Amino acid sequence: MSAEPEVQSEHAPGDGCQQKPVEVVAITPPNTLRRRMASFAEVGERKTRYSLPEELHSASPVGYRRRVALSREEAEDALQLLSLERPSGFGAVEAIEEGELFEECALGVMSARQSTNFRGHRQVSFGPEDSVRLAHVLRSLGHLDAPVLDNASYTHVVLSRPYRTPFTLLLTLIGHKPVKSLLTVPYRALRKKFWHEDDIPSVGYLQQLHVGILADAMERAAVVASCGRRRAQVFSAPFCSEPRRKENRPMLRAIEEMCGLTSTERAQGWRVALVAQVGRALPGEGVSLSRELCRKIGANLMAFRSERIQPGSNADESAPEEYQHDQGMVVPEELTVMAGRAAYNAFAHWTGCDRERAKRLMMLERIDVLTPAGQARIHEVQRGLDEVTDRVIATLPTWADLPVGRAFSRNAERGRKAFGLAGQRIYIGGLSRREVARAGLDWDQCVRAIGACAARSGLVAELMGVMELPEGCDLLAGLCLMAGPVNQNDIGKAFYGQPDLLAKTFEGRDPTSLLVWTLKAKTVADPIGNEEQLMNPRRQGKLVDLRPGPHEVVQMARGGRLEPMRRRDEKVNAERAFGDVNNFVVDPKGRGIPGNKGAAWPATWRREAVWEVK
Amino acid sequence: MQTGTQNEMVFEALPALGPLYVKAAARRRAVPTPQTELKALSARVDRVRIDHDELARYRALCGIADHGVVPLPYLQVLATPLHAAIIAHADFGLPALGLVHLENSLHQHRAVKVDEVLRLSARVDEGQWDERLGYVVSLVSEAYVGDELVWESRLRALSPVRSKRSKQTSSSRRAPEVGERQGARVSVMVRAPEDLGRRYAAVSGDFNPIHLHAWTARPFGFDRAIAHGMWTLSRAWGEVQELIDVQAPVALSVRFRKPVKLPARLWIAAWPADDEAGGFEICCQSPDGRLTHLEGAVQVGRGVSQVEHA
Repeated sequence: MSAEPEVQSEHAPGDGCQQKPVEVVAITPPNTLRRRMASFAEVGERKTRYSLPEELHSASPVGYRRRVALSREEAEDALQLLSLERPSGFGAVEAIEEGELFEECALGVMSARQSTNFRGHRQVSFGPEDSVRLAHVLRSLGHLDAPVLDNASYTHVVLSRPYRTPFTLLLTLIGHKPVKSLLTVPYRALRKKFWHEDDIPSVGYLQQLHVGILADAMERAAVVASCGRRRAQVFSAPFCSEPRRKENRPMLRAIEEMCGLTSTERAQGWRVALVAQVGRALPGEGVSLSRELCRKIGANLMAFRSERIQPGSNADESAPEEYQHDQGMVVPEELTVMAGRAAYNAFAHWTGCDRERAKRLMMLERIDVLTPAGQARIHEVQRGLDEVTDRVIATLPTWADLPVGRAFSRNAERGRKAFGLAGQRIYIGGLSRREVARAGLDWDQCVRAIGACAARSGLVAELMGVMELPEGCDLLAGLCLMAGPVNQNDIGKAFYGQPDLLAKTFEGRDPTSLLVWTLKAKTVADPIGNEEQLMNPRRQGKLVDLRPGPHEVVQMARGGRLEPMRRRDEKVNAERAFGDVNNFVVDPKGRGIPGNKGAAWPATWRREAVWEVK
Repeated sequence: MQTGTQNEMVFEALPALGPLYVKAAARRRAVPTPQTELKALSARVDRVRIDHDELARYRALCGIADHGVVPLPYLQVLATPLHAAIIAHADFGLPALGLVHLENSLHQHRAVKVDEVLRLSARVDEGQWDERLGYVVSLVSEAYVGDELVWESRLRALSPVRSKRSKQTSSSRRAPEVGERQGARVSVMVRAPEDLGRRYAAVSGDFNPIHLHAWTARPFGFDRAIAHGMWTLSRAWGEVQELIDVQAPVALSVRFRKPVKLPARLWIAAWPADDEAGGFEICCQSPDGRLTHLEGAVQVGRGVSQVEHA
């Protein structure tokens, strides 16, 4: 367990070097290689979470994917993506092919969100002419995180709305006094609906965390989709908190008007969250990545995001044999160092503060589950979370719970399993409001940065988990990123007087925990039934968000109109991004899931320039 | 307007399908027997210009991208009124109602540009008695640009007869192998909504009542409206054409199996054929693979022969 920053910077504070290179760390596979050998349920056999899904009917670019092995050299090259500095300018405006734009968006707005996500992002993309207008508007904004660049070939505007899911519906019922709840529940529900107020602060942070994760992904997406030819300048700071939004209101309204945001959508809470200018990299600022490697990285990113990874142990009694063995693998210490380095890179990048200050501000508690101290700590955390669950169930208003057959309390009970913490290195990330304010930083901007930190440090584990991946393994290391334990703890803080998860470790610093992520070393991927929840509307599709198709979340501004991406009359996208790498899930006989491979978008449409360049 | 000899109909423009259906339905004909003989009827239009708007609507409904050439199945759609004229002819020896589209082979000798003027013809080629099924008629269609044969097709339709053979029970049927074949290049789920038949009818002019609504399909023995076979074929073609060079000579051969009852979801798959000719096999099934609606093969390149039915 450590509260201290894990990496000591070699640069003096404020020396201008924000990003520190992340280095490869090999993970030794165990002697006995095992992988997920999921197959289709036989006729008459009961389908379980360990069976392959019977079909996939989805317009999403993700699909059910497997990880692709990278050589050590390839992994070294890929890690450049975790320490990108901002571009200083763009080269001449260039036309972009529809296929490249699709794959860039596939790595960004269509897949950046983690598994416990919500359909809370949309994107409008503008061509070079509109980009000039947008650049003009951006220059008028206060609190810009970087200079606005000329010559953007296109610009993405991301809209985001408050985090609302069945979980937040349940929250409306929590923390009320008996009898009084008849009034306080509707009152809170109304405030939530019309004023977008959150029941507990950490639900509000979720929106920001997701935006932070997306911002980080978009920066990489532009590079990967263009094989290093293009770079993205992503602006997040002017759109973060309410005071900043107020200050920038006329400009934000102008952007929202360009995006065709209606008053109804505004009332639903949709707002501009990010703007990303994308353009040709200047000489020396391009990222040197081969096309073959970019295809592999893209396919891997699809594979990482295709999984809905469970935080807890997957080996229940009915699990197939490959899940029943402890593989004895440990996340190497060097990997956690590099994961920490990537996290600090991300925090420094997205807040604009130098690395040393980033280390001081970020609160990262690391729990090494395999040590006795770690075990004790994890039990302590778990006890606290269970206590909250008990009290939530005990105090739920009966008048609301009974008519729905106690669905709310059953849902709350299920949370106990969902918040079960397992893994080998568990990180609890947080910040202190007081310290952030003292540093002159914006709280929401820092929350976004924490999202980016977690995603980027997790990506270190995910990429190293495919380096020199032996044939008989699905992965060597992976990540589970979750906000559930933080939300549960926040309920305890808000209504039952519990301390913050980080309060003990960072005593006296008034911490606010924001995210939990665990690094795992293993060779067997999680049951594909977990992934099916993300893809199949008949499998709990209402509880977790289904992967969106491009026509559902991306619009392209062309000829003064907003057109959904990849919807042409009756036809919508069925192409899986980076599908040429052919990393689709198959059964042991090599048979694939019907509909999983999809079909290529017509070549003539794919090759079309989205916007003409004069 | 129709001219020509008794057995050869020559039209100035493609005839409207509606009146032909009425005419065909009104004619009473005997149930076919092994002795039934078919006359060598034919129909022709000498100048057919493709209506760009109609073609665009067809492409939109069938999800076929515009590669600057006429989609291979579209000429079959254009030839349908000529087939209807033959079937409605007084000397056509089979009952018009209840003819079932069994197989279709389409052969593009060269890509047809959308602005080219075509001579389109159709004729009865042969009739065969099949003990198991009934009477099978072959209709051949051809498209010429000047004197150059650019496209031809052979459509086989069945005039079914009731047989005493017992239907295969579901228990004796082998369960389909789950999952898609190795090396599949296309594997996509497609939605066929309830109003598809009406919308495709508006595009193709084929207002056969079995396609329009469950109510109009019921008198013909279907509990729901069924999708046009040519829509199913065209929709599959929309995916498959992306795998091949559409400018090259192409031969497509399909067999229609179970009808697609609307609304439905379909699984369209294509995978490389076992031969070395670089062709593909295609299949359109229900998502669980239990019902096969269409199966066939595509061959590409010079020297492709009329493909055999799968």
